[in-house]
Amino acid sequence: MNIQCASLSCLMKWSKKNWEIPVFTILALAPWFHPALAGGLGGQITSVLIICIAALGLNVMVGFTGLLHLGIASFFGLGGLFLAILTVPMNPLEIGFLPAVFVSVSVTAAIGTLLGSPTLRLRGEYLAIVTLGFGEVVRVLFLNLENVTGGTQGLGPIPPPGSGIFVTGIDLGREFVVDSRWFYYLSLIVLFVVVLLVRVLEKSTLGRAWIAVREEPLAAATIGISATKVRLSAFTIAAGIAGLAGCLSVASIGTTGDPNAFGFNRSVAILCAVIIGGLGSISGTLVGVTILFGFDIVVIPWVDSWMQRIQEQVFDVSFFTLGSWRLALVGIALIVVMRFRPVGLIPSRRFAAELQESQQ
Amino acid sequence: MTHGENMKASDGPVLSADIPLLSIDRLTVQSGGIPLIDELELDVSAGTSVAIIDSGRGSKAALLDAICGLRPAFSGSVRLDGRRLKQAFSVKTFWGVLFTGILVGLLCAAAAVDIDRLWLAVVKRGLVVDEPFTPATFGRRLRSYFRAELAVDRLAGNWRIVTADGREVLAVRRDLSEAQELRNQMQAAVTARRTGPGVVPDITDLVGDANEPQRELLLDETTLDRLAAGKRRIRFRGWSAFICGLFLGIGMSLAIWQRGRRSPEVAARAGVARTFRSPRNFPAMTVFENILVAVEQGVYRKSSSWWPHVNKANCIERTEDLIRSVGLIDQSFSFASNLTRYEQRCLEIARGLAMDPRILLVDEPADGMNTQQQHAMADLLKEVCKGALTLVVTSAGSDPFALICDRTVHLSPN
Repeated sequence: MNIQCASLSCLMKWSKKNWEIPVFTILALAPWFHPALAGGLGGQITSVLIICIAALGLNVMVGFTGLLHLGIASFFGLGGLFLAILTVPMNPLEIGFLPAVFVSVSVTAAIGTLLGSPTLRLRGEYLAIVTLGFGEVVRVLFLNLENVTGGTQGLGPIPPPGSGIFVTGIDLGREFVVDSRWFYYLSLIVLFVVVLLVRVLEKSTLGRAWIAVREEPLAAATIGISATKVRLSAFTIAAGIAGLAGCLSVASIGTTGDPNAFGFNRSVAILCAVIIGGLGSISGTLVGVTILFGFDIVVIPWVDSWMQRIQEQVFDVSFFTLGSWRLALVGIALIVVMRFRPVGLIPSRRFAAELQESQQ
Repeated sequence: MTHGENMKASDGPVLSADIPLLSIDRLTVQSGGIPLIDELELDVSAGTSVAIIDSGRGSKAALLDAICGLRPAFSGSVRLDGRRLKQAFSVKTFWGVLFTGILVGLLCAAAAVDIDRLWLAVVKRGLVVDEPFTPATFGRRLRSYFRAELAVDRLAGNWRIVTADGREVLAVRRDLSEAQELRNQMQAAVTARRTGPGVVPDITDLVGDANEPQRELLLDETTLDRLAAGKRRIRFRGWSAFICGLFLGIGMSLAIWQRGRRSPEVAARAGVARTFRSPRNFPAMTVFENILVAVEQGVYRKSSSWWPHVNKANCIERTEDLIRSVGLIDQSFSFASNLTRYEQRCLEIARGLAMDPRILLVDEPADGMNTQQQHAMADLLKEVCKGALTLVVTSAGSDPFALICDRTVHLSPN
């Protein structure tokens, strides 16, 4: 009995430290136990996973480096746009999926660097305004450069990854379109890699410099850390990761879609998810996105279809949908979390320490 | 304001006699027009320690701020080893500025020549007429856009002869070869018009079809002049925007570079470490991480390569040594925010030492400590410096720090 208890607590401790392994194992095995993941539900969960990737990018900037970024969705959109430009059959380039992802992530990161280099000397609130403005500029450019971006219709159709590659006579591209488990696994693998990357970065020299600059910029400067360069690296990495998420997103939808989806609302929603989950905490970010976007993308359509059926059976009309109340519900959730758990659902140990200090 | 200098004990080791390690030359620092430091001259030899004594508070901090670049000097200079603590204009800066300028210029030019229509002319039109997309055809279409040449476009099964940016439709034909022939004829007329009076071609027929109301083709003298002027117009727009952007980019990046020239990180990389009167640590990092981050930056500072190799084990070992030397080894893994003020000061000194500086500036170590702690701190400073490190300490005069220094300097208003 005692040995069992000890081994259980040991397992708990291990899984608390290496939570990725059980979580990603469960997610990887899920399609076997839940066949509905091959259909629409799989696509919905895939889009939550993709937003998790973008939120991790944002977390690098907001959580680790302490810079408010209100335009992450524009980098998300830019990554998707470059992928679309490079792959759609309308355009003559039509390079393969992997090189296109590589190019679009690098170009998005370069745009992040370009935007950051003159503006990162600004203090927090001004930087927030610059990123907000940039997000709007990108959205308006998307709408107006019709020949390049396709305007309101977006660019498409984007060939799925692996189209034209035949494995034992099966076209991989067709498999991607038919079965949404392919995109599910692709997003899961990318998310896993990004989680590991962010984790390694957090514990690296650069990660410590990020936190030093966030905590006390003056002291960081006196030990020779150039705040601008360190912040610029965070901005670049955030832009690159968001661009990667954008690539996956447009590839899974098949078109860049309406540019208004990359506007301010999306940016703020991702930021809210990061804050609810816990600034500076990787697991917290994933939980925050799962709750906020999982609720928005997966739960609400399901509950609504169910409620509509009941209402039509009982009253013959459908008069109430949860979907029309979703923003209010998100707002209430945010208020409740901020009131009772200001450091987020799964706070990082650093932020917990800071809060403890301010309460003392 | 003058300064009195009082040689107390000058038997400290003098390593380089001719050039002092730190030399301050006629330094004036002002705050809101009031001089805090007026024409100060101070030389500190390597390996010696100096106590700067002043009963007021502003001047001492202002002096340390001016040395480490936190506060701009009104006049005068601060030199470390004969070199000013300013970033030099290097080759890297030059290329960075030039690259930024060209990039901003290209962006401006892209906006000025209308990138949307450029894309239409260069990429989309090639697809319409089924031209292979090779670098040669790409270059040809790019050139023809900037020469404002006429082009052939498709709309609803008809071929239109349009201007390069696709704004103006000049003629419509049902057949592609017929349209191309007409386009060549018109292009010849426009090119001839550019160099001389040219001939107004005899192309008058009805254009249009079921989709478009029929209208008469107008290729008269005014249209020809307008088309001929297109080349000059687009080139002028592109070049003027590029040059404006180039200067804007170069100016902006130079301004940014100039502002960052004299900054604490530049001084720190030259080897100036400092501590603050009220200790500034990284509260949400452990004591260990507080030191480790500085040790790593010290390694980066020393290595000249672009991507320096950091030996992790060495860094950790050095960090532990430093923590032990200031006596915080028991608290290595507690957050810096949980330390007492004395321990925070110790931590700050250890962090200053961690980057392996040439000179350590300690701002009022006596502040907020009792006598016992002051003595302990003085012993600690004496211990860590041990003659090898140059030390500048400020104090209010009534604490043991003046005693451990080789000499004292009074910054006193007379």
